[in-house]
Amino acid sequence: MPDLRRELIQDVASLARFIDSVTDLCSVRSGACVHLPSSELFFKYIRGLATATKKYVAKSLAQETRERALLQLRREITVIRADWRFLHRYIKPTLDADTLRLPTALLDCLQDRFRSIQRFGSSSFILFHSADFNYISVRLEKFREYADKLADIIGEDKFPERLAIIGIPYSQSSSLFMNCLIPHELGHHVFAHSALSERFATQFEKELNEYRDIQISMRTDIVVSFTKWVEEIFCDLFAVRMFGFCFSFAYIELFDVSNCLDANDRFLSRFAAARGITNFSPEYPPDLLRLRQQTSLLKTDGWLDDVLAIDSHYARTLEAAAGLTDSQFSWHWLRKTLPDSVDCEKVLGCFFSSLPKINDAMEECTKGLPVAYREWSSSSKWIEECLENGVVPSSIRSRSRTDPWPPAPVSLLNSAYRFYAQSMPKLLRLIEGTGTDPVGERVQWSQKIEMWTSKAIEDVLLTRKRLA
Amino acid sequence: MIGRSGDPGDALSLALRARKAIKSLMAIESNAPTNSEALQKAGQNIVDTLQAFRSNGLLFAYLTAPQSFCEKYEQIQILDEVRAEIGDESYGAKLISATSPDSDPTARAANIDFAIEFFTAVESRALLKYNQAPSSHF
Repeated sequence: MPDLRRELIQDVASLARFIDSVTDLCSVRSGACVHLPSSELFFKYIRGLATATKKYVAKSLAQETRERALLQLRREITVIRADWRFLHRYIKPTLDADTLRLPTALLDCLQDRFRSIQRFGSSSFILFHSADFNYISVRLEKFREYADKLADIIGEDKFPERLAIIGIPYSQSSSLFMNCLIPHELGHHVFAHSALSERFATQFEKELNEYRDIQISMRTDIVVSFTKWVEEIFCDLFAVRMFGFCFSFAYIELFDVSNCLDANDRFLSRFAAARGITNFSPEYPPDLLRLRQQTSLLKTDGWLDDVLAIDSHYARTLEAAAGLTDSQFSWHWLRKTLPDSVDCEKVLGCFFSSLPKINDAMEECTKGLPVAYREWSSSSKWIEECLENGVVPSSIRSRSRTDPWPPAPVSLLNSAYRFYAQSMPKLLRLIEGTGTDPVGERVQWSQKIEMWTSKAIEDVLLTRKRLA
Repeated sequence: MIGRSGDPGDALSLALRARKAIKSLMAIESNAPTNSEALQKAGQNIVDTLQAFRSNGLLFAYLTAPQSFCEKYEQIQILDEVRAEIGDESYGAKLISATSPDSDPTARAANIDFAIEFFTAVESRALLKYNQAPSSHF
């Protein structure tokens, strides 16, 4: 006759060993690695959840005598183990992201600005290294969900609300310009915490319910895609409001969107369609639609005229995107799968008519965050003058002000990106021995621009902290 | 993110919710304290969601409701598979009776057994889907 309790002792011990193996690295770490305080909080939370899980299971076993309850405990162990298997995937990537492998200056700038939003005044970020070349935050919201559900079962505290978790490609820790994409990921955190998904999805479903020929599973697919597109555009707008046009430039640079222009900067519509940058996918809106929406916010926030005047194909791509109309974007899947009786353009029109509401939602969610344009417009010239002369622009002087002053970090970022996109030849002309290897020299001196800008951001934030 | 995703983690999420419901039902059985309001909402939400699903009705109001039992279309599909497998057309009334503190105590006691069986089946099926997903394989 099998002894259920004895078997369960084995199962509970096995689970405890499994949890220890997953979480040991959070406790025993190399002294050479330093992590962000928020990451330390994350590790502390994981250790606490592990201890609470083990205690809970052991206590349940000790208290239960009923066979039925013991059998249920055995099933519960299965679910708990499955949950820990899921949490496992986030621990090592977070451990890998120590401060030597993170763009700390940019993160400080981001955190500083993010905290000026009323609702997120005490928020912090945990960063982890992703093996995929993607900046991720949605998947990490899953971490919160599964940690919270486990906490709910074992009666432990939920994951701290004020922690946002963001993944960056492990290779990009030192790239200042590419990391201007990070605020988009923060946008996902804000979107998830503002119940916007729910608001938009419910509205889309109501509008699509008019089309009785669309089956429920297809309708659900369309609603989900529309809502995902809304989220992506929201996050782009959020990033532009946070960081200005440097986000759009980084986007164009990373995804090579500028190849939709010919040698005379004319828009290559057939090539763009063939490359997919005017097409919706189930997960993402078209790149050029995203850029079009960004230009509309850049205009609202005052940046656009200055941005379009930048002598760079990045700026000209934005100009081309701004001129596109809704009818130039398409979703092939929808056209192929909808019944003939349903007008595909009208269905897609439901999404297009939601675009102004995305701007409204972004405005609502960024209350308290000042627009960075004005400060940039008064300091960019002087920042770029420093860069042109190989000087770290930690403090700048203008002819109208006698004392030097520290520029805002977001002004530094946008000025540096403009300089990098437009004025590198000015710097290279001053460097002795250049002119033999245009690409190699551009690589080398672009990195210097990033380093000087990072140093300036660090100096400015340090000065601010000291003054505070 | 609500809706349809195909993420295997969604199945795990459903298994965790089912486990929480089982724990609450067992607590009621043994007169231990539990969050009966959350359980009642879960029972009602399942019945409403499945009804909408089967009648081609609006789903997202249920998927996005606070404390909704399902957040994804695939999770509703799992619930519906379990409902079909159990083959008891009075499943809705039984789930509501089991999860509502205002039900007749005798009927509720009998229906709690049914509800535990229902949620256990949901948990097992959801875990199966989670374990069968490509990223979960050994």
